[in-house]
Amino acid sequence: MYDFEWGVVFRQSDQFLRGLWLALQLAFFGLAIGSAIGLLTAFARTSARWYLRAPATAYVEFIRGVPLLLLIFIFYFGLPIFAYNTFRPQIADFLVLDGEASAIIALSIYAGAYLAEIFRAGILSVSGRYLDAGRSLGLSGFGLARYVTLPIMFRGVLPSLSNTFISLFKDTSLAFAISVPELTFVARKLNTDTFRTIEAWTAAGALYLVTSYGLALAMRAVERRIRWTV
Amino acid sequence: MEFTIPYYREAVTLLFKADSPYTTTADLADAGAKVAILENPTAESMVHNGVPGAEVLTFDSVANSVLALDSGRVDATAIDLSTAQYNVKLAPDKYKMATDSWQPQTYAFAVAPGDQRWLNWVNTALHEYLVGLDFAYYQAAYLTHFGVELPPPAAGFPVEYK
Repeated sequence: MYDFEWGVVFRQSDQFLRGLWLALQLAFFGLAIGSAIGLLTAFARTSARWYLRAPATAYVEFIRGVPLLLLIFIFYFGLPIFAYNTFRPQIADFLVLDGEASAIIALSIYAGAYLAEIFRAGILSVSGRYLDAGRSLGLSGFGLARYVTLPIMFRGVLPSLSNTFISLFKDTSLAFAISVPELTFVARKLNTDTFRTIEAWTAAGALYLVTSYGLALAMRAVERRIRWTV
Repeated sequence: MEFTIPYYREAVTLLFKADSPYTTTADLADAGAKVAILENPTAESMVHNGVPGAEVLTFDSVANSVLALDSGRVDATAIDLSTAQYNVKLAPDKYKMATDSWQPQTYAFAVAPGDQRWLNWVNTALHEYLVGLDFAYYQAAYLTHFGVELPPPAAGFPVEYK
């Protein structure tokens, strides 16, 4: 018979909340930087120029085929080894990021590949009528993208963006592997220290669930605010 | 359960890069050093018992705690003495270990309780392995894995009562 001892969780509640806050920050910055990468990649993927299309396609296919944990290891363990073997220490010091920043970069590059596909679908879904209308107003190139494609695309991809954010929030759990004290790290530590496996993971699971649901509700509210039909 | 006689004395020590300026655990004490260790119930206190004031980074495998050292994430990895010896033995150009260690502890086998004959048999086998006829085998294994050559046990007066 397993005797529950929830006190261990409550005694660590500040650690859990700090872990949750860190996870949210990692996800937020991952999504923000990932969106910028995804957007540039999506435009490159839909470009008529092969030298933009080819590297963008290679990036998307490579990243989608590699586990996130491996990317986190590459940036945390691999990058410093490469940098210190290749560059002068002053330059290497600049290139090497701490655990949190390594996790954010790995999450951004990972999310960027998925977001690129979401944005690409969004770009392709923008009707030619709007582009024609834009051109008739004298827009071209960047202006067309900025004032016509982007605003229309953004409304269309918002639900997928919410999905990616929630997914990314849960993906932050892998940062435990590089000693970043996010929510899963806190749960693992409590589990290791107290052998209170069920309590530790129930607490972490509940926090992930409640926060993900809160994020979903918030994003849905945003979607409603800017709903717009073509 | 019941325990056999000990067959090894483990301790915690520090693994450094071969070109590290550090040689002992004292060199890192209260110097703002970062120390990696495998996550375990006493990870923080285990490091702090040997290296007071160190920042502790925990990893989910010994391999990754050593990788943290390789990648310059930490100044040292707190690790079992035997594992440190094994790493230095495998890659003497890459690693060195602290000249001291802390938290020595005894390793023995656990056996099911109530079977004294079986316990005696295992104890006798271990005893012969450590100081008896099978010593050469133990000595060879020790040299292979830890890079340390054990002196042969003396004849005459029993080594246990010296």
